[in-house]
Amino acid sequence: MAELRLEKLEKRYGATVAVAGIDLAVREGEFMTLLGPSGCGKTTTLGLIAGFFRPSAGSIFIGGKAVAELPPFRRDIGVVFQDYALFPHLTAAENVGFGLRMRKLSTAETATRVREALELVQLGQLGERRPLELSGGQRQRVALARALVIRPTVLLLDEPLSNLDLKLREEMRVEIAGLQRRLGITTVFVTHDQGEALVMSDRVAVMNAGRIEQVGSPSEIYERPTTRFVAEFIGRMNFFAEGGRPVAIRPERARLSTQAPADGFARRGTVQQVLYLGGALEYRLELADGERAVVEVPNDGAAPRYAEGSAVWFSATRESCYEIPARRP
Amino acid sequence: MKPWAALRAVVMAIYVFMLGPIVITAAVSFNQSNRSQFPPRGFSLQWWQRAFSAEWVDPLVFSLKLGLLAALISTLLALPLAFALARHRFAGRDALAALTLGPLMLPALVTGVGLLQLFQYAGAREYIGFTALLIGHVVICLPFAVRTIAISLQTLPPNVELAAASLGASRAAALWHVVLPLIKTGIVAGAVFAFVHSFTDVNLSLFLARPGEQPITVKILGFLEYGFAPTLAAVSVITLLLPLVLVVIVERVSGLGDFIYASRSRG
Repeated sequence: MAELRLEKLEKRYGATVAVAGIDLAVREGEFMTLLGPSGCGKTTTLGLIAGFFRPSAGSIFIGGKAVAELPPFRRDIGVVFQDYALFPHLTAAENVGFGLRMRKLSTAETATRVREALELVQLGQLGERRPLELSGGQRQRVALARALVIRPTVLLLDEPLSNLDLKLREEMRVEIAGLQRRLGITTVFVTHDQGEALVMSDRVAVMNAGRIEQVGSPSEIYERPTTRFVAEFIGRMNFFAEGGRPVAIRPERARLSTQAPADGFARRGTVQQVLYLGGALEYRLELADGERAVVEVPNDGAAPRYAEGSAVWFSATRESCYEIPARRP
Repeated sequence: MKPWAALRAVVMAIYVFMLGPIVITAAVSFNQSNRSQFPPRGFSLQWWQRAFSAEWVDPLVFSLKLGLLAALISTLLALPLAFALARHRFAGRDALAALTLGPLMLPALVTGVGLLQLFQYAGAREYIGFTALLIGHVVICLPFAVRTIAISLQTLPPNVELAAASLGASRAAALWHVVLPLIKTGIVAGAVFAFVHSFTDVNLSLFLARPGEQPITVKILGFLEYGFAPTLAAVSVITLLLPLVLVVIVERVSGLGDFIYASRSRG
């Protein structure tokens, strides 16, 4: 059963359409990511789920209950904000306990649950610190504990990693995803970072211009994109026309050779540029018909190297060629 | 002259002209003679004794009462006004802003004359005195309270109210537990500015006071017509110290200094 369901959800600001009627069902315990460029409507969608503003049309169901008309404090949600939005006048422990205080829990139970929540995010020792005395990563953990301690039906994460430095961001990806699976809490995660989306999610909804382009597991959206936007937005892609039909090939799925391959997709070309990436080599080619192509070859010591100016064959097996409709049907 | 020396000279000049008169007044109040001589001749506390007679204490207490009440009322009015002006766009917002902040541009003298005439035409002459003064002071103190509270509302960290709502706080609970504690220093600062402004006002009070119901500033001005006695020097020092002591106490209690000097960053 879907814990969270959006039906024909729409948000307009005057003539501007931020969310153009989306349908989405998030299963119980699922980690769903809304992925898209800035301005695609993903953050607006999250705000609609949280109840920060009302939809122009459509419905939202949380745990089977229609909530589109309810204010945020009646929705049973937990939100982690991009800037964490911790209360600067309260200690970390008081921040975490805020939601329990609003629910009028007993002091003893509040204390126990706050301690558990702080331990869950490995901040057991820092409960008495104020947000200003915590590092960015620690603030992030307090915000997470504060959203989790109220045991919400749905957890909403609004680009929570974007203010952290690279190393910490990669650690927190794994940690948040692990925590989410351990707790089994239904989660909607908003990001523009495809790496985060692929690593953390059970399913990803790729958004563009207020619409959902494709919903699927990370491998589905990466390996079987159904629209040109998804193919272009996630990873890199070479696009060709073959017999009037569009064909797309990922740079790491393409092959280089001096001999023409037996079958599959093949074009003759010249190496224009070789980029050394450390773990891989990137070849930029100009093909015989003037088109350009990119090939990424793992730097495994086995693959032959080609100098700039070499004549090569660009090829891919049939399984590695995606057929993508040029426009959304 | 090097730039740093020039800066130092300017700062010194500011201090001399700011603190000099105060030092001279304080010194004169300890004169032994009844002439306001500087440097003082001899030492006596007789002028201070006179300053603590009912003649001076009454208007001082009157000013304190007036100032505290004007500060309280204008702060209470300023809270909803600041919220409306800082947060919402509505028809008549500009008019409301102009009306609220207008007295800041208008000479208090004009406000005073206007209020006096209003009370007379309205046949409410008997209210001239404390009531009229209180109304006038609220009008001229309101802009200070509204400005400081509106500024503190604008420096509120974004999303904290949404965070409170997502954690189950109703609008009233979010206001009480999150917004008010965060703008507390702004509210206190607004009240202090309002009090000081009321306590030091002469222009408006001149028109709305009546015998027996006059603030200390008006009393001092009236006394000056007979000449400057060392009593006046003693009274002036008291009048100067009273709000200063109050501001220091409030600053210690509420951390107001952070607001005035903006020394603490918010995160």
